[in-house]
Amino acid sequence: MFRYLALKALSALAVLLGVSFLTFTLTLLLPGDPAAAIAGPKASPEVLRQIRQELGLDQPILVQYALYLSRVARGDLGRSYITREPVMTTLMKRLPATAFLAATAWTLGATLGVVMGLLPSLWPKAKGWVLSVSLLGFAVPPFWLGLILLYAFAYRLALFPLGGFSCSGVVLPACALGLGLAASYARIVMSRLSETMTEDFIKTAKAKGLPQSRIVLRHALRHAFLTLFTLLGLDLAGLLGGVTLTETVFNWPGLGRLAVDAVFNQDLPVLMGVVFFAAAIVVVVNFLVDASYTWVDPRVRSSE
Amino acid sequence: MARSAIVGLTMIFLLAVLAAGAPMLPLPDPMQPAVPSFGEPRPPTLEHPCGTDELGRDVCSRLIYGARISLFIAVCASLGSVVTGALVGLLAGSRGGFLDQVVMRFTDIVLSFPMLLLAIGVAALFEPSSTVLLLVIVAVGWTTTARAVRAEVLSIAQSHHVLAARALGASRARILLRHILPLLWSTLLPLGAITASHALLVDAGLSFIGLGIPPPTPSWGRMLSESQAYYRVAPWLMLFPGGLLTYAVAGFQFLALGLTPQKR
Repeated sequence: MFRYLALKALSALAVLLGVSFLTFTLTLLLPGDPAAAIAGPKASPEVLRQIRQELGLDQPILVQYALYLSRVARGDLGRSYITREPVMTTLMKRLPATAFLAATAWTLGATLGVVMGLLPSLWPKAKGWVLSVSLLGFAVPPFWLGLILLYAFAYRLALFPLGGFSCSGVVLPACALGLGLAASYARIVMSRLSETMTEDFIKTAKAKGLPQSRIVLRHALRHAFLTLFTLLGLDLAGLLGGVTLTETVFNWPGLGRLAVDAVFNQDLPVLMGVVFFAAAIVVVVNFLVDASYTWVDPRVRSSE
Repeated sequence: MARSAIVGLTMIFLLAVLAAGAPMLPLPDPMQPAVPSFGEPRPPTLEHPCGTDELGRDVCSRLIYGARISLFIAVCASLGSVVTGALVGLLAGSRGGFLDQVVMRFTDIVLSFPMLLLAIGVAALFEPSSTVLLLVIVAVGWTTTARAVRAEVLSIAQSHHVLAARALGASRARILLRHILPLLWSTLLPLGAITASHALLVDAGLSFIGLGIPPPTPSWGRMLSESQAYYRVAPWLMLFPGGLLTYAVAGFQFLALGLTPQKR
C-alpha cells in the first residue's frame, strides 16, 4: 500500500513539474517584452535592464525555467501588470468565491445525479425520462442555462439577485452548473448499476430474498460508486479551478471571472497564474482520489 | 441504440444543409442592418422570425451564417483532434517502453489543465482568427482520443489474430495498419462525434469572452455575449443562439451515443 501511495505521489509530482514547464513555455510565447509590460511604455532603458536582470530575463531559457520553478515553489507567481499585486495574493482572494460556488454546484450535481441514476433500478418506467433529461443536461451549455435562469428567476420573478456574490446569489449559478454534472453522474450510475446487477454477489443477495431496494442501495450502489468516485474528484477539481463562463454570466468574483478579466486587461501573469493554479488543483485532487482508493476499494489495499 | 445515431445525424445534416445553402436562401445580409435601428432590438415578426439585434441586423440570418463557422470549426477541430490523438495513441500503444511513458505523461499533463481555461490561456497569446481558434481547440482536444486509442491498441495487440500475424512474420507497420487500425474505427467514430460537440462548446465559450473569430462575422458565442446587455428588453437575443448551440451539441451527442458499440 505504501509503495502504491509513493508511486502515485511521485507521478503526481512529475505531472506537476510538467504542468509548470508547459505554463512556463506559454509565458515564453507571450508577445512583447515582459519587462516593458511591467515598467510601462515610458520606462528608460536602464530601468528595463534592471527589471530584466531582476526577473532573470537575460539568462538562458533553462536557467529562466529553474528560476521560475524556484519562484513557483515559494508560491510566487509574479505580479499583475495592472494592480501590481502578487498574483498569488489575488488568487487567494478569489479562491473562496469559487470554492463556495464549486462546492454548492458539486453537491447539487452529485445528489441529483445519483438519485436520477438510481431511479431506473427501483422504478423501471423512469428509464426513458432519466435518459432524456441526462442527454439534455449534457447538451445545454451551463452558461446559456445561466442566462436563462437569470432572466426567468432573477429578473422576471425577482426571486434571486441579478448576479454578484451572496448566499442567495449562489443558487442560480449552482443550478446552471449542477444540471450538467448531474447528467453525467446519472448516466454513469445508471450504466454501472445495470452492469453490476448481473454480478454474482447480486444474485446471492437476490437468492437471500432481499428486497430490490436494499439490493440496489446497499449492494449495487456501493459497487457503482467506485467508478463515480474518480469522476466526482476530477469534476470538483475542475470546478475549483474556476468556472470561467458561468462566473462571467453571474458576475461571480471567482477565479474564472479573474481569468476573463485578465484576458480583457491583457494581464497575462494573472491569466497564466489562474491556468497554472487550476491545473495544480487538478493534479493534487487526482492524487488525493488515488490515495483514498486505498480506503474506498479494499482490492487496492490488499494488492501490495 | 443505432436509432440515436440516425437522430443525431439527421439533426446535424439539417443544420449543415441550412448552413451550406445560406447564400442561396432569401436571407438578409447578416452583417448589414435589415431594419433601421436606433439601438433597440426588435422582437420576432413574420419577416424576421428571430427578431433583430441592437444594430437592426436579422438574428435568424446571423444564426444561420454563424452555423457555417461553428460547424466548420467543430468538424475540422474534431478531425484534427482525433487524427492527432489517434497517431499519438498508436505510437504510444504500439511502441511501448520509454516512448509510451513519455507520451502518456505528456498527455496527463495536458489533461490536467481544465479544457476551456487552457484554451483561453493559449488563445490569449495570439490575434484571434479562425485558424488560431482551430489550432487551440485541437491543442486541448486530442488527449481523450490519445488515451482511448492507446488503451485499445494495447488490448487489440493481445488478441489472437495479431499474435497469428506476428507468428507469420508480418512487419510492425503491417500489423499496425492491417490488423489493428481497422479495429479502431468503432473507438474513433464516437470519439469524433464527442470531440465535435466539445469543440462547439469551446468555440462558443472562446467567442463568448471575446477570443473567437473577430466581428463583424456572426458567431453564436459572441451573439450570446452581446445579448447580455439587452437580456431584460430582448430575451430573444440570448434564447435563439443558445438554443441552436444546444441543438447542435445534442446532435453530436446523439450521434456519439448511437455510434458507441454496445456491450453484450
